[in-house]
Amino acid sequence: MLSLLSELPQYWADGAVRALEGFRRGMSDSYPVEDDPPPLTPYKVIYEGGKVSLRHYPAKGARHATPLLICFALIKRPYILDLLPGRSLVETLTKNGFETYLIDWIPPNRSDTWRGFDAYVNQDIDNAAHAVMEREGVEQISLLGYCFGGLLSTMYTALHPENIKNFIPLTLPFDMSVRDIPTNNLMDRMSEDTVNLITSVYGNCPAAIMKAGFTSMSPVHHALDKYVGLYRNKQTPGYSTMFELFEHWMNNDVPLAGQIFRELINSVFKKNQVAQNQFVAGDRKVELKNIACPVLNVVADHDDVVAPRSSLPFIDAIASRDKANLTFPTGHVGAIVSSAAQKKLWPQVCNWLGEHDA
Amino acid sequence: MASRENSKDLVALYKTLFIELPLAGPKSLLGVAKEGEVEGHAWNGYDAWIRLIKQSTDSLYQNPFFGEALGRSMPGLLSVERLTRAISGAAFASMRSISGLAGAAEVHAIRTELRDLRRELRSVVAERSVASEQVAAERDYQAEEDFIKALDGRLHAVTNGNNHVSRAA
Repeated sequence: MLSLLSELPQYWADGAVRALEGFRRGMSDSYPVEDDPPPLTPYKVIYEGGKVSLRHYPAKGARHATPLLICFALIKRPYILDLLPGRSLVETLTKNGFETYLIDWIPPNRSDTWRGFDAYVNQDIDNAAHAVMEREGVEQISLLGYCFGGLLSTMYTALHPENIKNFIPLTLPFDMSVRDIPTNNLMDRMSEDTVNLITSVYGNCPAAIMKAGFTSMSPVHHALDKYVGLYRNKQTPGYSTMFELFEHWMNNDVPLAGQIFRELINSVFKKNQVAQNQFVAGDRKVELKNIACPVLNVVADHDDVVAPRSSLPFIDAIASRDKANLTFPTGHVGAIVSSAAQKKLWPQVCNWLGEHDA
Repeated sequence: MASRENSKDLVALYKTLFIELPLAGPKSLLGVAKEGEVEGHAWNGYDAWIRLIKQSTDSLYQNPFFGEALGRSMPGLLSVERLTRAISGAAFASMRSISGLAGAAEVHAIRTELRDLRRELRSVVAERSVASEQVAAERDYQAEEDFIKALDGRLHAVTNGNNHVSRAA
C-alpha cells in the first residue's frame, strides 16, 4: 500500500497530460475528430449536412424491416457506443439484425454559435431521418436517443411524429425539476446573465466548461479515487485497458453551440419547459401529447449523471398507449458498455424492437 | 439515510484509525497478524474516508450560500476573461500586420475549406476497416467488468470498498 504514494505522482502526471490534451482538442476551432480511436464495427458515412455525419452500420444475418437511428449527445464523442468487442452497443444491435444508423455530430466552431434546438432538431435530425428513410425505402424509422441525444430525440418525435415508428429514450433528462444530482443545485445559481456572458466571451460554450461540470459531479473520484482504484487493480490488465479507454473518452468533451447552450440552461433546465409542454423550437411548440408511437423508456437505476427520477415520468407525459419504463441496475455509462447491459438489457430492447417491427 | 451512512462511515474510519490499525501494526511486527490484515484495515479506512468526503462535497453543493457565492463570482471572472481577450486580440492584431503572419480568421477560412474538401472525399469513399489489432488482443473481461462496476458503484459503495469490487458480487 505504501508504494501507492510513489505511484500516485505518475498517475497524476498521466492524468494531467490527458486533461491538457482534452483541453487542446476542446479549444481547437476545428475539433480534431481524427483523434478518436479507430472504429471497431465497420461503417460507411452515407450523408453529411449541417452538423450531421450519418454513419451506417449494416445488419448481420436476418434483417428487421425498420432501421434504427441513434441520436447521441452533442457534448461527447460517440465512440463510447462502439468501444470494444462485447462492449459495443452498435455491435449488439447489428448482430440482432438492425440496420443501424448513428448521428456523429460534427463539433461546432465559431460560425455555429447561432445553432439552437431548432437547427439541431428540425434541420439536422430531420435531414438524417429522411436520409435513412430514403436509403432504406421506408416511411418511418425507430429512434434511440441517449442522454442529451434523448432530449433532442424527444423534441424531434414530438415535432415530427409521422416519421417515428418506435422511440427509445435512454437515460433521458426529462423532468428538470428533480434535484437528486447535487451539482444541479449549483446550476440553479448560474444566472441567465452569466449564461449569456459565457457565450458572449467564447461564442460557443467551451468544452472546458463541460469538463468542469462533469468533474465537479465527483471531484474526489477524479482527483484521487480513480487512481487509487487503478493502483489496487494494477495486476489485472483488463482494468487498466478500460481505464485508459474511458479516460480518453472522458477527456473528449466537445463544445456546445452558443444558442443551444443558452436554451438548454435558461429554458430547458431552469424553467423545465420541455416537461411542461412550453418549449418552442423554431416556431413550433414541443407538445409531448404528439408522441403517440410505442415508447420504451430505458432508465439506469444507479445513474449519477441523469437521476432516474428525472427519466421515469416521461411515459406519463406522452399520449402513447404502448409505452413502458425499462429499468436496469447499472450506471449512466454502464448502460452502454457493461457486459451485463449487453447480455441482459439490450436483448430486451432488441426483442421489443423486433415485436414492434411490423 | 445519508446521515445514517455517514455515521457508519465515521465509525468505520474511527475504528480503523484508533483501534484496528494500532492493533494490527504491532501484531504484524510480531508476526502474528493474518496475511494482508494491516492492508485490509487500511483500505477499509480509506474507503470510508472517501465516502465521507463525497457526502461532504454533495452537502456543500446543496448549501445555498456556497452556490450563491459561486454564482456571484462567475460574472466577474468572465468579465475579466472578456477584457483579457480583447486586449490580447488587439495587441496581436497589430503585431500580425507587421510580421505578416496569418490571422485566426484566415486560418479558420483555410480549415473550413479543407474540412469541406474532406467531407466531399468521404462521401465518395467512406468505408472503414475493423481495428484488427483490437480484435486479436487477449482481454480480461472480468477485470473490464470490475472497472465498469466500480465506475457505476461510486454512489453505492459496497462495504468491501469503492474500487475493489468483490469477485463474488
